Amino acid sequence: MNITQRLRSTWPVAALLLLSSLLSGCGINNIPTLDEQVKADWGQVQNQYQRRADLIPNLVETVKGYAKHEEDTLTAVIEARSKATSIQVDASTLDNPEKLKQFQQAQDQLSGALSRLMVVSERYPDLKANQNFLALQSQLEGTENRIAVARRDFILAVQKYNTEIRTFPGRLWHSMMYSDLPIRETFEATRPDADKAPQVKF
Amino acid sequence: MGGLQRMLHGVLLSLALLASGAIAAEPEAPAKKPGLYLRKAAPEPVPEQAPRDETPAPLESLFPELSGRVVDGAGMLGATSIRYLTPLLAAHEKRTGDQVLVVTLDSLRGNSIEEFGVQLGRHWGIGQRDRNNGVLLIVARAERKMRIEVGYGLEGLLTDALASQIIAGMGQDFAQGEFAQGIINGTQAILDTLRRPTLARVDSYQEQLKSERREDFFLFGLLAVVLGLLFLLLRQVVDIEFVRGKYQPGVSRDSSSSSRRDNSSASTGSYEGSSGSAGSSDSSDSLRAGGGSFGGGGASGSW
Repeated sequence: MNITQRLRSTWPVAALLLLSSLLSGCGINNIPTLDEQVKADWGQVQNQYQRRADLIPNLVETVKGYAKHEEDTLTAVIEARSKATSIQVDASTLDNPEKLKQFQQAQDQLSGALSRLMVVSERYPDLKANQNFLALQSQLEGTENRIAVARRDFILAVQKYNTEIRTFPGRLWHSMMYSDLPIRETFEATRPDADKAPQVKF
Repeated sequence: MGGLQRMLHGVLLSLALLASGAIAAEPEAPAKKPGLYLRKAAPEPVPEQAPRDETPAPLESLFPELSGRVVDGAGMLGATSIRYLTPLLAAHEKRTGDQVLVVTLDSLRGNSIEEFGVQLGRHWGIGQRDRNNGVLLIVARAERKMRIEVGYGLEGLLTDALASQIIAGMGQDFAQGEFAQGIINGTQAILDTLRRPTLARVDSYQEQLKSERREDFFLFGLLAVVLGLLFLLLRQVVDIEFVRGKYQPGVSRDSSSSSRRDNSSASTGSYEGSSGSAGSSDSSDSLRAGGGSFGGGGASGSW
């Protein structure tokens, strides 16, 4: 009898250990892990868009000094920037497809206005020789490229996350434990190559 | 009671195997949830660790072999230049930990050099994993394009504007057909830029190396303690079952000790496996890609 009593006291501990190691090995943690990855990649997207927005005032000031006749283009950039930065986004935006779309539209509009500005700048040789402008231009190019990379990573992360939720066994875990985590929307490609950086050429 | 014994056996084996990280499906493990075991056989996605290299197939087919610090796929550098550049880059890594590589290739085959740069950097894992301090100087001959791809960790030092200046300088050499000279000048300029705030960075790098060693030691110790505790617990269970029970002690001793041997071999195997995967890629002239990542920083240009 003594034996069975001791067995009884040890058995639950062993079973608990076994169960927890089994569970962590079979994907119960996958959904939260992928969810965190999506959030991290989304943070990176926001970060890079913010970086671009921060570059713009300097750029506009520099261009203004040389290209006095381009008021319209400059105003369009400034307006697009203020519209884009006025949309408050955070991690909760991910669960709000409407807002995500709005954010994307505003950023696309800014991309368009910026590339028009860069095209216009080409008409001003003095501007193109300005060191400050050259530095800003390379930063803008670099940032556009970073945006492209961040968006691509984000899209891949969402894809991975959604796939986990929709396939076995992630589907089971999702219905059992993580039903508060929805299928996520990602960026729509508005152009065929929307996740590539617009070429800012001179 | 025989059923209980078999079950305990299964528990013992699977618990030890799982705890030590060996993922091989064990036939003796209790077939409680077959679906879960099915899942284990498949390679699990590890998002934080794996350098993301799920690129479209055509891009991946362009990636050259990581044969050294200078991968001259387009044959734009003579043997002399390669022999000059390689120790220069190796010395820089020894000093600061930064991995700077030179890559030339024949053609991008329709890909943009920006995308190629990021994905190649991630694919190779240039730079240390936690510092992301890799730099690639890429020249695509057919497209007449070049790019400096800067890892996350060096974007503050080798900024887009500075990289763009270096590219412009190289473009002048390239325009005159001085490819080797242009690449050497460009590499030199990259190293000079990275070397600027030397002292603080070198110190912090050496400091970090030390703390990493301490960390490794600590982790190893922790692993040993955890495994030891597990063995103690398992032995207790086994002893109750076999030694005090109505079964022959000899048989049970044998089985428990043999399973212990299994455990230890499984644990060393998994340890080697994990350290092997951390070392990621092959080494030539002592280049060991550290698993760094890239985020699209740098500058491109053409000639």
